[in-house]
Amino acid sequence: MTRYLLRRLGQSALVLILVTMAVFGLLQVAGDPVVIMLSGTGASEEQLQSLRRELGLDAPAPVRYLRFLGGLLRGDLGKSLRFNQDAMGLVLERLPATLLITVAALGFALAGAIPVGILSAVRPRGAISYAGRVLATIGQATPVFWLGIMMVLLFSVQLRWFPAGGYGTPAHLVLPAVALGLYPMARISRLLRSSLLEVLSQDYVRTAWAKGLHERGVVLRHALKNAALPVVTVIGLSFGALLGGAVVTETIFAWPGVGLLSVQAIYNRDANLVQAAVVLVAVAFTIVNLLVDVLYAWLDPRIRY
Amino acid sequence: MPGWIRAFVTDTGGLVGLVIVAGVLLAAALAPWIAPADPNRQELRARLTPPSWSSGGQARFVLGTDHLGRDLLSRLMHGARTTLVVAVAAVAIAGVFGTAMGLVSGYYGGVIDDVLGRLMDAQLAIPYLLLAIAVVLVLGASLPNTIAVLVIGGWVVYARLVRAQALSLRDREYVQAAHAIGAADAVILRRHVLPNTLNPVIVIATIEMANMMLFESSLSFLGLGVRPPAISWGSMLSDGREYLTAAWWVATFPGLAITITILGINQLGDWLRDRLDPRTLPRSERRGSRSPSPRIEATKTS
Repeated sequence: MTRYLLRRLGQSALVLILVTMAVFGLLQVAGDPVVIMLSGTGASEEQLQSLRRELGLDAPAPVRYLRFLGGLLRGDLGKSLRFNQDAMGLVLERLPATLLITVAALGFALAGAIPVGILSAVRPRGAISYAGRVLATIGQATPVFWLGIMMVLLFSVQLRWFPAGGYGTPAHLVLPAVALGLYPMARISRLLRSSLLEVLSQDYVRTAWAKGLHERGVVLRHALKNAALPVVTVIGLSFGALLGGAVVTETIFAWPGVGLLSVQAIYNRDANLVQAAVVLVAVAFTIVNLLVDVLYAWLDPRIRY
Repeated sequence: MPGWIRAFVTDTGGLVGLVIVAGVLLAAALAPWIAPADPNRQELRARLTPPSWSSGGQARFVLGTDHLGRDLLSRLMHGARTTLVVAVAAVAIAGVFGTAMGLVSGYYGGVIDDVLGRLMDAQLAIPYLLLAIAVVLVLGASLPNTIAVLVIGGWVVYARLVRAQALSLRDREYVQAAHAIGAADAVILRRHVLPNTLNPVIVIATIEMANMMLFESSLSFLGLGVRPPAISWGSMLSDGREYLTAAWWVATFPGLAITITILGINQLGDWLRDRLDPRTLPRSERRGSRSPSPRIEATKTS
């Protein structure tokens, strides 16, 4: 286990180094941030130079990459070109809001997907199974942003049950979490259904039946544990999709998270802020994947790489 | 081949998918001729006209007009062109590039495989939309750049899949035999390895087609994708967002178009997967399959 952990940690570190290189390289191609910032202000070449010096942009690229990496380790990713504040601070300030909405969406997805998945595997020809499949099919085809807008139209404009956007109270959380959670709900319920169906046809499940266990015991105690393995993987992967989907959801519901921040940073051509957002989200995502893999190895003792 | 036709007809999901996809393709292909109006012609006096069936609607604007008085139905038809061009181009380029990378990585293994594998891991560590945002920051928003963004995000799926296939095919006897009689690597890859990886690639490509459409409309919705005067369902939707309380139809119909199209592609993809991958067939169907080799039959029909 320790060896596996160490190997997995090394892999994650390597991935993160590549991510930072990619992001840094990308922004080198983006052009001179100083020119972008001061374009249209009629600044002289000396003024451009002095701003470059101030921002440390006059050094050669490899030096700046190492400086960037060192800064990342010290928690300093430069100043936001727009707000003239610590970029990492700005992102970290917004990170809890994004995590809140992702976790709420995942919670909503699981709360729906687990019962529906189990019931539709146990009664494959029952009403819930069919309803679940129809909903999953539609849920997988509906774009988050349209669903969000339609929910605003129905629940905020027409029925006035929930606020159309903003942050603060639990009521603000409902619409974004549901909009963001529907897709993973569809995906997880479909997967749980098929993986549970497969497990239920195995010999040890028949043995459980044969020794006279009632249905609840067979399904929940014996089958579900093994059916849950692929689901754990997909939950980990969904987290990445959720973080991406959060960009759109936050924009629709004016949710002050990292997604909204990075979209605004693009509009402002604030390269440092985009860089900080992408790197930090990648770090968060890599940590989640690492945790999922460790959890997986712990759940399934057969897995040893 | 009546067998697969019958299968298609009895399989309603696949049929529904085919009808939807064919309808969208037709609407997109014939848009300049069958669209009722010029999609970019503004008629400010008729702005935000409701759909023809609701009160205040006009017969010439079947689905109503947007905030500049442009005919929504015509814009939807022309928008289908943009969406399809972007999605098809992205899937084709990402598919070819990803497949090539996967073949090389899986077949040669070693250092190449290690480097490519880490690259893929690194890319998957960045959520797609955030990666797209970073790339748009560099390239700027436009139609070709949208395709580029989608390709950058999309090739890994194919590469991973084909790599795994190539890895297992590499040690098969017929590949070894080809090697032994002195076939060049390029020939072995093209004639013996590639054909055996194509079925899953086709299935993934269908699913990716839907994903690419979804991402294109997300990007255009955020203002990071296709720019006017090119019409995209995503940007139409974001236009409509501001008039949500006054004119529900402007945001509703483009979203409906996206959802229905993606639904159709997904249904078609599910059907294709069932045909091309015998392992996922339901038990009864698998036993009753008349064709000794469903894979080959399916390849011919696709």
